[in-house]
Amino acid sequence: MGPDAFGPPGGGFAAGGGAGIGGALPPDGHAVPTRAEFGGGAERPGFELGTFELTDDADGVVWAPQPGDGDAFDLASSGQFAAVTRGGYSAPAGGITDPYRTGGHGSGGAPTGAVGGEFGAGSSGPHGSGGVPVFGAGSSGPHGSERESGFGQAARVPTQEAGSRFAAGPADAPMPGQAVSQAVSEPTPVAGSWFATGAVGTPVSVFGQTAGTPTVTAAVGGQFAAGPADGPVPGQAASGAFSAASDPAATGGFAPAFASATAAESASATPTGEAFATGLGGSAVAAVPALFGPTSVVEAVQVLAARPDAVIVAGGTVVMPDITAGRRHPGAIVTLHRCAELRGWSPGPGEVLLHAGLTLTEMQRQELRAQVPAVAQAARTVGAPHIRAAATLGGNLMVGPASADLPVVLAALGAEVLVASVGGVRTVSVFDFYDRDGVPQLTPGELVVGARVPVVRGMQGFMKIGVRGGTSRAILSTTLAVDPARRSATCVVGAMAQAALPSGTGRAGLPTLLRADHADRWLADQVDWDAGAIPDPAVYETFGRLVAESLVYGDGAGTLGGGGDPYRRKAAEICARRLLLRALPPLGWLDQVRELQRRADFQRAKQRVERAEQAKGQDQ
Amino acid sequence: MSEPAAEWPTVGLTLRVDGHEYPVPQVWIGDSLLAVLRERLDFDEPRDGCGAGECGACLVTVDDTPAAACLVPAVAAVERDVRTPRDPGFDAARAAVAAAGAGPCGFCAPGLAVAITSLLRRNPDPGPAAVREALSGVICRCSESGHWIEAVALAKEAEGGAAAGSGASPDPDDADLVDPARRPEAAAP
Repeated sequence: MGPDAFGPPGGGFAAGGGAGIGGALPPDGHAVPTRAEFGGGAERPGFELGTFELTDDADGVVWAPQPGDGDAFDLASSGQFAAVTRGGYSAPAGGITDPYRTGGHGSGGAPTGAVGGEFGAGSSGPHGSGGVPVFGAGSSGPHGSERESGFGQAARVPTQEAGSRFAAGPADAPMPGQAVSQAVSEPTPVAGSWFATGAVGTPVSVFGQTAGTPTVTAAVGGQFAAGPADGPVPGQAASGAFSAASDPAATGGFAPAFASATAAESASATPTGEAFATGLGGSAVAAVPALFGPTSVVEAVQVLAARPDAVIVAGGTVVMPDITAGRRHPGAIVTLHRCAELRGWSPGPGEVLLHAGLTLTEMQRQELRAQVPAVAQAARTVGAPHIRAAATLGGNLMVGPASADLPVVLAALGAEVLVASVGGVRTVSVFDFYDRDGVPQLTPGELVVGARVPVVRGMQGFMKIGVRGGTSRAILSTTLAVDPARRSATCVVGAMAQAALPSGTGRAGLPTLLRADHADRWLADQVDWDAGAIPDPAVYETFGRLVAESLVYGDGAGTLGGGGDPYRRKAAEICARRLLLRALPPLGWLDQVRELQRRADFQRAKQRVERAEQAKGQDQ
Repeated sequence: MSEPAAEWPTVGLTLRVDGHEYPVPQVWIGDSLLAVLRERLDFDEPRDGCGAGECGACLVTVDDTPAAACLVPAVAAVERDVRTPRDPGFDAARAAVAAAGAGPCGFCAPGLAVAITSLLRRNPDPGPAAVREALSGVICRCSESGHWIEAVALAKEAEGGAAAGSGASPDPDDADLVDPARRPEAAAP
């Protein structure tokens, strides 16, 4: 039947490659076994290497503060720290003027032709002043003003007018019809509500923002791209809900002195010593704000625009050892632990958005594991439990595929990284996000805010080679993702450049993120996509060899064992082979297994009878 | 210190440790929670081991989540509930660790007590494999995991009366807590 290797995405291929199958195919066009058919939506077991026992699939929440337990952690009391923060991305219907991009796109400099990115307004959370910004307003409940709108509908709410000016230039008035912010008050995700498709075809993802009052929302949203010089920032919007920042003396202790973006801008001009002077006795240090705890992405990128040298700390697992050891000396610190927008993840149409603050522990929960199982598999191989509880997706992306595992997984899944700055949110694929050495390509002032991962129904697998049997840093990690709808499989090898082995490999000449393209294309022709299996058993060996041969090194100098790094080459071969064996089994393997089982049962029964007869004969 | 003061920006913090509020003036913004606990507040149970989150000797709980204190910025621990191994909540596990000889030299014993306590809070009846994975973040040079499993069993007994009424149930989604012997497929013939 000759399935084409890379059919059109989605449902188009049933009429093309699978023409001979006729009406037996399901509506979406393939009969390949998917994850749902292997036991409750779980990934196929046994994918991890170097980890321990398997998981079961019951749902639960790990280490999350329960809503309403009165925890000091502000998310807990607001009930927003559920397993999933759902929905609620804002989608613009019309073009939003972007001062940094107007003229470069679309209708020749017309204000309406620019990229449709915005920080829209959501409905309010339960907090009264300042609020806890979350993605959207999925759990707004009785608080605030609930607004609901379907996909593609323009829900124009008067209070969001200024919020939609997020990307408007300083002189621009709000454009009519451009204020479209959706707030989903039901927990079911609304399709398309969280990513915007601008007129120029550049999808710019959008952060819905929730604040205490609509005016605050509007102020922050309007501030976003307008830049620091345009318009005053209301105090409640800038310094957020950290009430202790107001008057430390009243609380009897020392206030956490998180400075605001405005304080960063005007540091030299007007020393804002309000909280910094606390306990410092008039020290000169008080004049320089150096600690920022933004409570929203808008505020965070404003801070980063004002202080590009600031060290960003989210989970701390990467930065804090450097700071403690003196390898990095922060002049300013931006802690993202108060930024509720960056927590959790959001389901979307055909993809999920993993926010940058998603911890590895949260990645292992069932709800997300059912969507992108390879991410959960990879998360489990990283570090100890208390490290996984702190480490975040953003930190993994910033460490890069030289040693981190998640970039490898996300690359195989075809994910895109969202990078925010005061100019807006840009989307870049994982492969383009890193240079050849695995260094993330960010300009100063930019912040990784998430990753969009397509959800495919095929099998996904992750394998990792560490320096020991337990959890350890990878010296090689491999991901294979099968997309039955597109009839393609993607194998990515990475995490190879870290000097994790005693001999050290360094970064010289080693590709850190490697996509075995030719092996994937060859493999797509070898798979019986309608059966979801591989007819020729020799394919597995050959696929492993092809993947291993794609590890092309420069000169091999400095690699383990000399030229070509035979250890990693062999490891990549074995990992790719096993991943393929588990993702796309040999044709008829289930029948064979059943037959073997039947024969074995028969043999055991026969032996049992024979032994019983022998015993009977001895007794006689 | 020869650097100008502006290069070491400090803030004043109020930490809530073991249920008590401690105002700490002039904390460098890069200081870890471990440094503040040990050197400013004299909580010496969290050990300063590797400083990189690898050894687990500095384990504390922050908002009931075990965390390596060396990886938590002190400024991020503000207004959160920090519990060091000195907290009475860890007494049972500390006694169990001592009784089982799980920390012979004593360096990692407080962190081990924190790890055991948080394990038992999530999963009151962990199997050996679950114990091994849950305690994999504590690296001990002078004991082996048999003592640790024994310590967990002792702590479970000690907390048995208290935990029975708390209604805590094993979180089956916690990947490191599922004993392979109790997996559904293991029970199948």
